[in-house]
Formats: sequence, C-alpha cells, structure tokens
Amino acid sequence: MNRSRVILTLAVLLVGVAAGTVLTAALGRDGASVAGEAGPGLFRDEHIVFRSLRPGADQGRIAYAPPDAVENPVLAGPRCLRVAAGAKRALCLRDGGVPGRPYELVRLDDRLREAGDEPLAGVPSRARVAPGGRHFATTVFVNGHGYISLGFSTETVIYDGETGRPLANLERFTFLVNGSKDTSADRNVWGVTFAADSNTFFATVAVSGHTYLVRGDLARRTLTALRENAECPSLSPDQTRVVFKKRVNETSQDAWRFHVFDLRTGREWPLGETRSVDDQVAWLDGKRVMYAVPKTAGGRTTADIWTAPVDGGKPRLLIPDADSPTLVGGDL
Amino acid sequence: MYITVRGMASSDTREPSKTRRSIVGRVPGTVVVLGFVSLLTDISTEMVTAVLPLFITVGLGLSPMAFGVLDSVYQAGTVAARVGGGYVADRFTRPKAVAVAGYGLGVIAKALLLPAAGVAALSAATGLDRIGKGLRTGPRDALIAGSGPPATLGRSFGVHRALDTLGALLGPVAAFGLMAAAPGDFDAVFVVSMCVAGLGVLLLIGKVEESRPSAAADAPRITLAGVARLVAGRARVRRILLTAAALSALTISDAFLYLVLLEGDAISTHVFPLMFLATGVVYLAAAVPFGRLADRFGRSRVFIAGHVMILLAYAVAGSGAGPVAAAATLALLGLYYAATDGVLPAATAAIVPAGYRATVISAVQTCVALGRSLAALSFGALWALTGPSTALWAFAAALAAVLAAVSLIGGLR
Repeated sequence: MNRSRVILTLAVLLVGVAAGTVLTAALGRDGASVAGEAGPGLFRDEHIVFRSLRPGADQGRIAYAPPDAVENPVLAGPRCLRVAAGAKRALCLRDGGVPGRPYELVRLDDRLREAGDEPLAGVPSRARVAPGGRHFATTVFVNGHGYISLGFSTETVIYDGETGRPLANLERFTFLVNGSKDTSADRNVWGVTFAADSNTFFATVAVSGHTYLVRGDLARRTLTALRENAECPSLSPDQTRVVFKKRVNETSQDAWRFHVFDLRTGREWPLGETRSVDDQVAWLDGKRVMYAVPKTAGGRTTADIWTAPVDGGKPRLLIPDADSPTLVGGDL
Repeated sequence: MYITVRGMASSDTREPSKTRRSIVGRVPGTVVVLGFVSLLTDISTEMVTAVLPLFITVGLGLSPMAFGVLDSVYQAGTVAARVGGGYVADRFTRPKAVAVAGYGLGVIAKALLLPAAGVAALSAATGLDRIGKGLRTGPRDALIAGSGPPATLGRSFGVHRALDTLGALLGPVAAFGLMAAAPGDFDAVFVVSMCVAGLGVLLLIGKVEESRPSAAADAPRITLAGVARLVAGRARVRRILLTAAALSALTISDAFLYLVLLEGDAISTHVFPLMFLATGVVYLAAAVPFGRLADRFGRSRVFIAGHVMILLAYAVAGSGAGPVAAAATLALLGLYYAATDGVLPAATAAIVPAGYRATVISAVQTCVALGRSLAALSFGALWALTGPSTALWAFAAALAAVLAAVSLIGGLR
C-alpha cells in the first residue's frame, strides 16, 4: 500500500541518518593525537597547566606552557572535562564511559601518566590540589541528590593526596554561622581552595538561598562562615587574599563579578573584569589571577583563558581555546 | 518469554481481529508493537537524560543550579496534558491519534535540543518532552487494554512494561557508547536519539491498529458529564482513584530510598546509577510473571502485595546499612514496580466501559503522579525536620495503616 511504503521509506531514512551520524562521529575525528607523556621539566619549572580546547583530535587534552610563552603549549596526558595540577601531580575529571560509572577522577603523576582512578558522583565542576600535595578536592554536580527539590546539587570531597582515597564529604562537616551550628538539610558545598598547611581550606557553603565564604578545618571537620555572598574562593600564594565570585544579579545572564577580599584587613574590592564569569580563578603570581571565559565559536561552546591583575586593572586574553588553568612549579 | 513475544509480533499485526489470536500463552500483537514503540522511545529519552547534565554544564557552559526550580512547573503541565490526552482520546475515540501526537512531541523535543543554546531553549525541549509523555500514556494504555481479552490484561501490561524498562536500561548504554566514540559530540547523541524516537512513532503509525469495539462506532461521544456520572455512580472507580492516590502519597521516590541507603556511608553517591540499573533489571525480570500472577490471583491482590514489597523495602533500608540490605532494598523496589505499574491500569481497564478507558486510566495515573509529588515534598520536609530514619519509619507506619485499611475494604474491587 502507498501509506506503508511512505512509512517504510521514512523508517529507512531515519535508520540511515542514525547510522550515518554514528559512523561520522566515530570515524570522522580528523588526525591522530600528538600527545604523549609530559616532559621532566613540567613541575620543576613554572608552567600553566590547562585544558586545550583547540578543535581536533586533541580537544579536551591537557596542555602546559611557561607563563611567559603560552603560544606553543605542549599537549600531554589524557582528555578531560576539568583539570587541576600542583605539587607533582594532576587531576583529570572526565566521563567514565559506562552507564554504571558516568564520571571519574583520574590521578596523574608528574609526567601526567595515569596513576589511579575513583568514580565521581556527577558532572565535574571544580578541582584543586593542595600546596605540597597532601590533599586534593573535587566538586561535582549531582542530579537527584537534593533532599527537597530533587534537582541539581553539589558534592565536594577531599581526598588523600598520596593514595587518592576519599577522606571527607564536606556536606557532613559541622557548619558554624556566627558561632552557632546551622543544621539546614539543603546545604551545598563547592569550590575548595587549600591553604599552605593543607588542613585549612576555604570553600563556598550555600544554605537556604544564601552563599557563604567559609574557612574549613579538615581535622576538626568544621566549616566556619566568614562572609556572605562569596563563591568559588581562591587563596593567594602569600595566604593573605581570596578572590571569589560575588553574585550581583539574580538572573542567570549576568550573575557574578570577581572580587578580592583581604583576609587581614577585611577590605573588599572588585576585579577589573566586567563580564559575568562562572569559574574558580587560579593565581598566576602574587598579583594576577587567571580564569576561563566561555565563548561561542563555530556553533560550539568553548572558552579562552583570561588574566586580570588583582589591583583592579584591565583583564587581557592569556590563552585562546583553553580552560581549567592552574599554575605549577615556582614557589606556589 | 522474549522470543515467544517477538515471534508473535509480525503474525499478529497482519490479523485485524487480534482478540481471536490471543489464546492462552500468547500476547496480542498490538501489545508487543506498543512495547517496542515504548522501548524505542525510552532508549531515545534515556539517551538524552544520560548526557543532559554534561551537555548543560560542559556543552552550554551553564550552571545546572537553575534547573531544579523549573521542575515543579513541568509537573503541573504534565498533569494537564495527561488528563486532557485521556479525555480527548475517548471523546473522539481516537486513542492512537493522541498517542501519535504524544510520541511525536517527544521527537520534536529532541530536535529542539540541536540548536539549544540557552536556558529557554533547553526548558522548551524538556517541557515539550514531558507534555508528550503525559499526553500519550493514557491513550497508549487504553490501546493495550483494548487489544486483548480482559482475562489476560495483567500479562499484556507486564509485557509492555518489560519492553519499556528494557528501553530505559539500553538508552544510557547507547549514549555512553556514542560519547566514548565521539567525546563531546552531543549533537550526535541528539540526532541518534531523535531518529530512534522517530522510528518509534513510525512503528506506532504503521503497525498499531485501533481495535474499536463495534458498538462504539455509532455510540454517542463521551462527555465530561458522562465521566462525572461514571465516577459518581461506580464505587469501584472511586475506590481505585482514592487507593492509587493514598498509596502513592506514601511511596517515596527511588532517589530518596537510595539516599537513605547511602546515609550510613559517607562518600558513595557515585553508585546512584548502579542502583537505578539494579532496580530496572529486577523490574524487567518480574514484570511479566507478576502480570500473570495478577491475572490468576487478582490484580487487586498483586497491587496490594506490591505495596507490601515497598513497605518491606522501607523496613530493610531503615534497619541496616551494608551491601546485603542495599541489594534487598533494590530488589524489593524492582518487585514493587513490577507488581504495581502495569497492574494498576490492567485493574482499571477491567472495571470501566471501553469508551472511558483512556480517560479513567489517565485519571488514575494522574492520582499516582500527584500522590508521588506529595510524597516527595512531605518526605523531604520530614527528612529535613527529623532526619532520614524517623522520616522513613513514619512513612512505613502510615503506609502499613493505609494498606490495612485498603485490604479491609476489599482492595481495588
């Protein structure tokens, strides 16, 4: 019949499109990877370690370059969704590739070779290695973990730097606001930055629609609120200042501005970056931070790494087609 | 069972009078075809669900926090689509057309994901998908109910739900397979998902025949007043609506139950996907046997037994942590779904006139959906106030009381 022939034709067409898509996706990746393991100087000398977003076979792969010569980065290690490095190790947060393990954390050694892995509870968001490497931390977005909304929530875990085993889920820590315990069930924690002693850290705690900059104590398992409206802190190398993003607008279009907070004087001032950026900054040196700014190129969402001085000066483009920067080597 | 079922598919669909062929041990061809339509649709939907969090954060660079809020808005939209879909299907005696519209919206939703670049586009796609799902469920179940003799409806629904669940299990596998072959290529996942959903719609259009009761051809159209009279006049219809709502309002969601299991263990939410998988596998394995049990020993009994399973799941989850307790809880949860999800529409279809089936099945499923939303809200609030253990035991006690009351009044009959 005519009608069944139309249906059959459409069905064949759909099968063809699906098969074509699968084949193009699987075979159409142009060029073989040029990445191997990292050179011996990666952690000895000062380098920015980041995620290369240059289109092609190595999109998403780890790359590194000296801060004063970022034009020709070296590609090395695996492809990741989020990267952080420090103290002769690196973290690669990526998709696990199987339904039972959608996301995983891969530990990399000083040559960016895989040294172990752990499953992750959700989509990678933040990662940091503590100075000295005794600990590291990850934040992921978890679906269906919230107690009331069953919407998205975060999970932040601190790991042992040597073994890679999880040590603590920060949601279980005691949260102190103005000296009293807050037991709200809708607590979320994200964006850890470690102090030099590796026991003290800073992070964001959100409860009932408010966010707080907190100082964490790993041994005592406490989070103490320091300041309201501060997310994704990043502690300066000299341990005196924190750069965080501050919510300036309830809309999702223009939500945040980076601010600097001086822990000694309590003074706060904005960075010169006037765009709304959703990232945890990393310090490039004692005077500058770097962060990823999303952009759309060729119909795809990608990003560039920008840098801005913390005195409020003008930001500038640092590394195009890249995100997830952290500095290794030197005195950090 | 799988091979038998597949063997029947082609032979039955060519035969217009399906009821004659549904002899003992065989499943009507329409049911099998509808099962495969659902299988394809679920593969399609779950493919997208598996990659959506990654797409939102990595692909679009958005913060996922914004999306929890929209969920309740969708819930309301789904309820309206559900009730409307069932009524329109009955009113114009065109359940297939409404089902096609519902499945078709699912295809359009996937197409919308391709150019999606912001919260608005993403919300539109997700919302449309949910509306489509609400629209098609009642009419589809009415088609299943209309395609076989009442005596074997439990098994029919069991076969359909087993295929449906299989699709839900295969979807993430397909998505992760594609993502492994082409990392970051979300468009490939969406295109394949759309094609698979499209195949489901084509299968529905081409291979499912509406078996309208001969009397219905010249019977007057059903009206809202008629629906009201049906509900007012039949104690059994009222009872099934009330029972479904009351029991669902005490049924906490899978995610909450998993959370209770994880509460003793600090850092292991990454096993969530495995828990969903385990529950699905048990449901898949038990759907047909439980459907047959329902046909033989009474759908009401099996439906009640299903809720006893989830009551036991609460007790096990509340009593101990550890892998054995977790495995038992997940098994009981899977059995609960197998004993209730397909059995309820089977029980409903048997007690309402054929002309009102889609409407009443939709109404019952709306009661279940609303009940579960209420359960999620109240359990979440109770958890926040008293902690997981107290909340769980409170729900268990209330469920036990309602189950006892339902049994006393004679179940769904």
